[in-house]
Amino acid sequence: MIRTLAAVVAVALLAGCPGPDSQGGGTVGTTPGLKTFVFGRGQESVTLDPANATDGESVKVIVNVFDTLVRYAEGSTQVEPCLATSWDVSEDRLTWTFTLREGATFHDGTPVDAEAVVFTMERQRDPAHEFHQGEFVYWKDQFGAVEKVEAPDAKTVVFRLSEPFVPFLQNLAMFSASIVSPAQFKQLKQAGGGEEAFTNAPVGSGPFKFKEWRRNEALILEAYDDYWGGRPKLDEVIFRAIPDNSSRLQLLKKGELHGMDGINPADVGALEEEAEIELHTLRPGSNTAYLAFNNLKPPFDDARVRRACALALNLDKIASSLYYGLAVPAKNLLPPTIRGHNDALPARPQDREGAKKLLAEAGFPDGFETTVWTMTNPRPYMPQPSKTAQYVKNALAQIGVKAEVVTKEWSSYLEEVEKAEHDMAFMGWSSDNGDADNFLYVLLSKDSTEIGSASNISFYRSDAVTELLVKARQEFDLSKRDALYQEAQALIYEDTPMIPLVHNALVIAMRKSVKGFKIHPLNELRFHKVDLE
Amino acid sequence: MRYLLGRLFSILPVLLGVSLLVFLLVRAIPGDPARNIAGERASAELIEQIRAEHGFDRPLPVQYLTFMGRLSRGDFGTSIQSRQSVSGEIARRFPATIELALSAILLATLIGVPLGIAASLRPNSFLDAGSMAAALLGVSVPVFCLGYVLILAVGDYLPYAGRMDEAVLREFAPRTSFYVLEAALRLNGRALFNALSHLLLPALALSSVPLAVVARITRSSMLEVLGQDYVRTAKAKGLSQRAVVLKHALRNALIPIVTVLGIQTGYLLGGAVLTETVFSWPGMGWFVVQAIGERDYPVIQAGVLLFATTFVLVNLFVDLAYSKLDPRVQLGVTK
Amino acid sequence: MSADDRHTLRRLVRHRGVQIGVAIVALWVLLAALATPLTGYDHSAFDPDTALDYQNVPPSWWDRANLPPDVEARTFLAGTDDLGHDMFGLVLYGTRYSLTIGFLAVAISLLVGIPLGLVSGYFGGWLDTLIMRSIDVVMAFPTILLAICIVTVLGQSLVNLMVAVGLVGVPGIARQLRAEVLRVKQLEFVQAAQALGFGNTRILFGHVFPNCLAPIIVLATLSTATAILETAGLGFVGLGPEPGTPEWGLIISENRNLLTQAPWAVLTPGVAIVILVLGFNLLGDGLRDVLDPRLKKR
Repeated sequence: MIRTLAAVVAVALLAGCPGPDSQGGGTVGTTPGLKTFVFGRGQESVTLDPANATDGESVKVIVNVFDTLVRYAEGSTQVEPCLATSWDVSEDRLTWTFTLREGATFHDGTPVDAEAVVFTMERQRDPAHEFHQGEFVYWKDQFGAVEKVEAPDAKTVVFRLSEPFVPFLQNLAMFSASIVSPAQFKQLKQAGGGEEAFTNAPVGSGPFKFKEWRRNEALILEAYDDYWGGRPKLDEVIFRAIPDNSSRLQLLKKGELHGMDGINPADVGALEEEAEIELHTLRPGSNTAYLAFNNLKPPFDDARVRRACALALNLDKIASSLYYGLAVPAKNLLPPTIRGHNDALPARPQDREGAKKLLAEAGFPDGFETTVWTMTNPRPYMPQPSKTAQYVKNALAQIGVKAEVVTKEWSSYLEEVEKAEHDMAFMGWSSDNGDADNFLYVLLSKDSTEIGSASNISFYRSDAVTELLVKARQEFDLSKRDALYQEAQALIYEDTPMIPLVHNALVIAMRKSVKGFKIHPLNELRFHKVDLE
Repeated sequence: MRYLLGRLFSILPVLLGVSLLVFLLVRAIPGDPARNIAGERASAELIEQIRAEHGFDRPLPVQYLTFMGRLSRGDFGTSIQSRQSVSGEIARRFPATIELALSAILLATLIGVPLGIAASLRPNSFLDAGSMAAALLGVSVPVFCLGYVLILAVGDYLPYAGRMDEAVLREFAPRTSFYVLEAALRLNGRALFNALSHLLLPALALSSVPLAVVARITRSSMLEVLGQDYVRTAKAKGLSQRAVVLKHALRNALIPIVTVLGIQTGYLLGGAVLTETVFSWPGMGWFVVQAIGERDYPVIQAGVLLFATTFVLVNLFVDLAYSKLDPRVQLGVTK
Repeated sequence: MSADDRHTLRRLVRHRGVQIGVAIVALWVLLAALATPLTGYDHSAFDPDTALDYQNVPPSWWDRANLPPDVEARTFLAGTDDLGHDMFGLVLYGTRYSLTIGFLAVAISLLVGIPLGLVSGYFGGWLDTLIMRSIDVVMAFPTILLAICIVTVLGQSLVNLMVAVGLVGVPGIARQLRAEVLRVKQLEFVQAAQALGFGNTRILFGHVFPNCLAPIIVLATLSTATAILETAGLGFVGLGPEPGTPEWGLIISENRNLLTQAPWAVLTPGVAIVILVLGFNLLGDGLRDVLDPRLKKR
């Protein structure tokens, strides 16, 4: 009787457990001679709907499946033609007209025409749009100035803006502005697909088309034969999520992966010696890790206290030891790779005596007690959040400031930090579009300090700085714009609302058999020109 | 049959209690799940809307009843993180945990029982003392430390991440998530070997505690049985040592061993949480730990519930097996 | 002290497992107390900048080729991690945390578990059913998972870590004690006390409880070993105390990325856990041999 029961349960278990293929629609067999490139990363993508993606892992796939009107050129943040071959801007900077490329098609065979561009943009802009499903969080930040998108004819698209906005063209190259196939949306809706249907069957016009997604196992793309830019050399690209950094590295060494990111900083040195593996490094990358003071809370409302804390840290040591030499110490929030960076400002040397003097002047001769917040998971700009926090804690102890390290999981961390609940908090930013506005206005203007949804988590509310930053948003003369940013950075340096710590390197490891890969300053991973030997 | 029904009935309140406790624990976790769903840069209105959609704004008893109602239909909701149905995720991941736990039990039995018998046959010998010292060490090592030691020692030769090489997996094209079982049934040698080689290190790490316990219990129950009259009689009648051990003693010694294995299920499921983290094993334990970090309510609920239910059911089976093995246990009369 | 007690004590002192267990625990406590003078590592006066010059230095008995001369001049018995902590000093210092957490967690288990077990076993009835069913429910959860849930609910801190590990140990204590009470309740002297009309409290604490002590002492010792392991497990999954606290599981988890480059930073705390847990397990097993007559059959 027991045996029967056991058998029944076993059968029930098996029957109740659909295998991977009942979800993914069939596992593929290997076809001999196929060029399959496998990339390992730390986490699974969340969504393949470009307009709704917010995480880096989704973006890695999206940039290979979709095209944008303009794109960042190889190895730089300069914009070049992509789906649009030319463009024009009106005298008042409010009307942008784009001419579309002939012969570009979506993976479903429909043409990339003006109607598709209007669909892509209006879907995000217009809450009444038939397919306005999702959060579209990037739209407001990047395209809030767009009033209307129109298609006078099949190959022409017109964007009408409510106010001049310098980074507009830069932003059009971002993944969130990827052109999607309206036909696919309509077809999925007819077939009864819900809100999430497109993310499981995305159709774009990029070099690779979506094939299969077994979440947490493999996401498979295959070459799009009719790509307007020429068929990719690879036949297939597989993204695999392997959370543990060391395990992922082992798979790369064994040849199970052709490329990976998220390498332990400690392992980079040894990896340089590895014969089979090539490291693609960009140092510094366009990112900044910083320590934000909560300028609303005493004692950090006093600039002397903030400067004293900055003097307690040895940024060179942080860069050389905690980042294993991969990072460069920061002077400014704006990385040196981005136009407008003020290089004339002096680096801040460590000076414990000076720091103690400043603290005494501010009325804290014996220091004070406070907290320093850090996240639980590594971020691209901060591979060792906990150890960096420990260093800062110990360094502050040397000038008499007793800081307790508080860790929070990422979503609670953001939530509470945006509500100004922290004293000091680690944060960082990676450039979305290579523009200074994307760092300085977002992270330090008064306009982004609303409690509860602040991106300026230093809660630095300087009128002078904000005025300069807003002016720069609308200044199309680039050298004048640079001057505005230089001045703003000098004021920020003096006020020290935060301590910019380091700019971390971008590191991608590829096997030597991988050819044609170039690292991109915005960390876009495009595999169109990659080949396998 | 009546006993079986009775036992089945008696676990119902426990399972109900388990579901209630899981539900309350998960609700009590601080952090806003609506915000997690909404993403990093979402507006307050959107978060409010999501809260309403998912019913996070309704009173707790209503939420519990909804939860139980869905549960009875096998609907565990949708994972906040992966946006996939939780039952689908469980279907893919739980088999991985089951394979891992079963392999660990198998290793523990295959090594632990002979070790215990050997030790009991020559009490106080070098073998006895050595194996018992090793057993003591086995219960004193945290499973994650052992995992790292194994990786350092043989990680260059044996895989320590995932369940199967991607190339083998694609060729194998499994129809279930029980890779080892399926490979064996389909007589696919390459897939079987590959799956087993991936299984070896994590199973070894996880088996240390049950192995040690099984060895110790086997030894002491064998000693007890070997000292009893009927075994001495059997020996006196001229039966060989081997026959006595195999026929009489082992059968009786099986009872405590089976019991221990039942108790160890709880340990195995818990240990799987840590082992899976060390070995990037795509099972339930690791998934649940990640879900706790991400405040992924539906996954935490389903995962913890699944573990607890498994534990209760396994112990039910152990009770039944116990009665089968030992005729002296009267089925009708319990408590 | 009765002759019986003296006899038990003598057997305890002569028991090999007890001897080794006590020796290990005592030696480890001594080392922890002398951590700073022994290793020169002072956790409270740690200069992060000078320390970073000694990042990932191999142990003195490791291959120390290619080290800069000024780094080679200093010896570290167990090497350093990438913040420049002397691993031996840090891990010894961490003993204070592991022992404190272990003992206090077990104290919590006892504090909650003993009343539950006594009441349940002595009074029986619906109260017994209620308590035992609740304990069945709690025991259905893998301990580490339950502890993870409790810490997540209460919030991460040293105190909550102890509470979680302690609460998870309650069912074991309560169950064992209940079984003991059920046994002792049948004994003649308890029956006699009841017949004499003694109050329940007096019988429970005057007669029943003292006769249930031996197995509880054994269980508490073994629970300390388990508590240390569970604490390390929680620290390992990132639910331990504040980062930078020298709690062993936390150290292992923070240094896991150094496994290939500086394995000593992972293995040293691991060895410490094993030794201390082994000590408590030996002690517990020995105590059981001597104190718990029914488990003595060998």
